[in-house]
Amino acid sequence: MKKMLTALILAAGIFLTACGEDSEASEGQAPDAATASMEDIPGSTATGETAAEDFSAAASDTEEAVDQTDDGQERKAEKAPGEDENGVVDLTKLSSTMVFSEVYSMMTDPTPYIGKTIVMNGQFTVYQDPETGKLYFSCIIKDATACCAQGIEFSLAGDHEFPEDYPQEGDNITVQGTFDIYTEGQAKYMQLADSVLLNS
Amino acid sequence: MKHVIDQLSAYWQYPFVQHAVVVGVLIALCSSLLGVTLVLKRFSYIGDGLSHVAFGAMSVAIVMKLTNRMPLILTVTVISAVLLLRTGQNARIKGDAAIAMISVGALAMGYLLMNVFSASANVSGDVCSTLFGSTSILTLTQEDVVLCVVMSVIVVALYVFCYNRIFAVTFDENFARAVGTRVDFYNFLIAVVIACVIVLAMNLVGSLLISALVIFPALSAMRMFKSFRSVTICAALLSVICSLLGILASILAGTPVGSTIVLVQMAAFGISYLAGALRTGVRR
Repeated sequence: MKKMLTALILAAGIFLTACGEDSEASEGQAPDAATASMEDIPGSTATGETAAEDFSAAASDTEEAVDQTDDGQERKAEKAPGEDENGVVDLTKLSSTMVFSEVYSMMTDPTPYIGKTIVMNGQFTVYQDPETGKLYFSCIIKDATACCAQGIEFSLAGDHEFPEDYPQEGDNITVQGTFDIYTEGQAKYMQLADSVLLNS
Repeated sequence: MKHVIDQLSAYWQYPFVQHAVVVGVLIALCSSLLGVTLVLKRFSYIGDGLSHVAFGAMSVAIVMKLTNRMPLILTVTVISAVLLLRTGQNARIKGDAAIAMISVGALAMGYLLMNVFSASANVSGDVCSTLFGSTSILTLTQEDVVLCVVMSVIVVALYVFCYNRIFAVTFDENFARAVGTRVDFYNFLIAVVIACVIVLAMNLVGSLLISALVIFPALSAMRMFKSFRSVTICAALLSVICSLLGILASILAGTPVGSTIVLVQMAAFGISYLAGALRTGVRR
C-alpha cells in the first residue's frame, strides 16, 4: 500500500510538473495581439483561436508588461535581444526560423523592444475594420514551413493615402519603424510607429 | 566557419534560443532513456501513437475552448499509455496492433473535430505546426523551461534509481514477476513517464516525428554496443548531441526544427551502422 502510494505521488509529480500550462506554443499556436488582429486580414495565414479571445488575453499580457515599467526612458535603456550598437533590431539579418520566433517573442514580451528601431521584411497585408472603416497595415512573416505566421502592424510617417501610397497586398516589403504600444478602445496594441518602407 | 560561430554567438543572446537548447536537450535525454526500453519491448511506435492521442485530446480541448488544455491532454495520454503498456507481453491485442488502433483513431477524430468545430482562422496551420513542430520549441517561456527541467530531473532520477527493475521488466516480465519484482507497477510507472515525455516532446519535433526521438538513438547505440547499460548511455549521448546540432542547424539555415533534428539523427544512425560494421569486421 505504501509503495503504491509512493508510486502514485511520483506519478502525480511528473503529471503536474509537465510544462506548458499557459504556453499556447505547446499546442503549436501563437496567441498574441498581432496574430489575433491578423486573423481577419484577407489572405493572412495567422494561427490561433478566435480574435476576441486571443486579443483580450494578449492585451492583458501586454498591459501587464507595459505597466511593469512606468518610465519610458527606462524601457528604452533596456537592451533588446538582437539590438546592435546603433540601437536597431534588424530582423532582416536573421534566418526565417529565427525571425518568426523573434517576432513571437516581441509580441509576448514587448517591454525590451519599446522605443527601439525595428527593421523587418515580410508580406504586406491590409485590414479594414468593418465597424469603424479604419485601415490597418501590417508586415507578416511566416515560419519555415509557411504554416504559421506572425506579423506587426505599422503606420507610415507623414500623410499617406491607400492604395496610392502603399504597395500591393501580398508584396514583399521591408519596413523600418519604432516599436510602440498604443491604446485603442479597451485594448493595447503593438505597432511600428513612424515607419518608412525601405524597398517600395 | 568563423561566420557560423559569429552567427551562433549572436543568436545565443536571444532568450528563446537558450530556452530551446535547454529544453531540447532535456527532452532528447528523457526520450532516449525511455526509447531503449520501448525498442526492446517492441513498442517502438508508441511515441507516434501517444502523440496522435495527444493531438486528439488537444483537438477536443480546443473545441471545448478550455483555457488550460494540458490537464486534459496529459490525462488522456497517460490513460492511453497505461492501456497500451501496462498489459505487457501477455496482452490479447499485441503492441503494434493496439498502437495502430488507438493512434489512427485519435488522429482522425482530432482532425475531424478541428475541421467541424474549430473557430480558428487557420485550421491547417494549427494542425501543421502541431504535427511537425515547426517552431514550437523556439516559443517557450521561462516558466516552461523551469517546469521541463523539473520534469526531466524526475524522469532521469526515476530511471537511475529504478534501473535494475526497469532492466528486468524490459527483458523478461515473467521472470521478473517470478523473482518478486512488481512488474505491473513498473509498467504503470513507465507508461506515465512516457506519456509525459511524449507530450513534452511534441514541442520539439511535433507529433509525427516523435518516434524518431525514441527510436533512432536506441537503434544507433545498438549498432555499436551490446550491453544494456552501454546502449543506454550511448543512446542518451547521441540523442543529446543530435538534438543540439539539429536545433543549431535549423536556426542557422532557417529550416524546420523537428525535421532537421530527425535528419541529424538519421545521419548519426548511418555513421553508427558503419562504425558497428567496421568493428564487427575488425573482430573477425
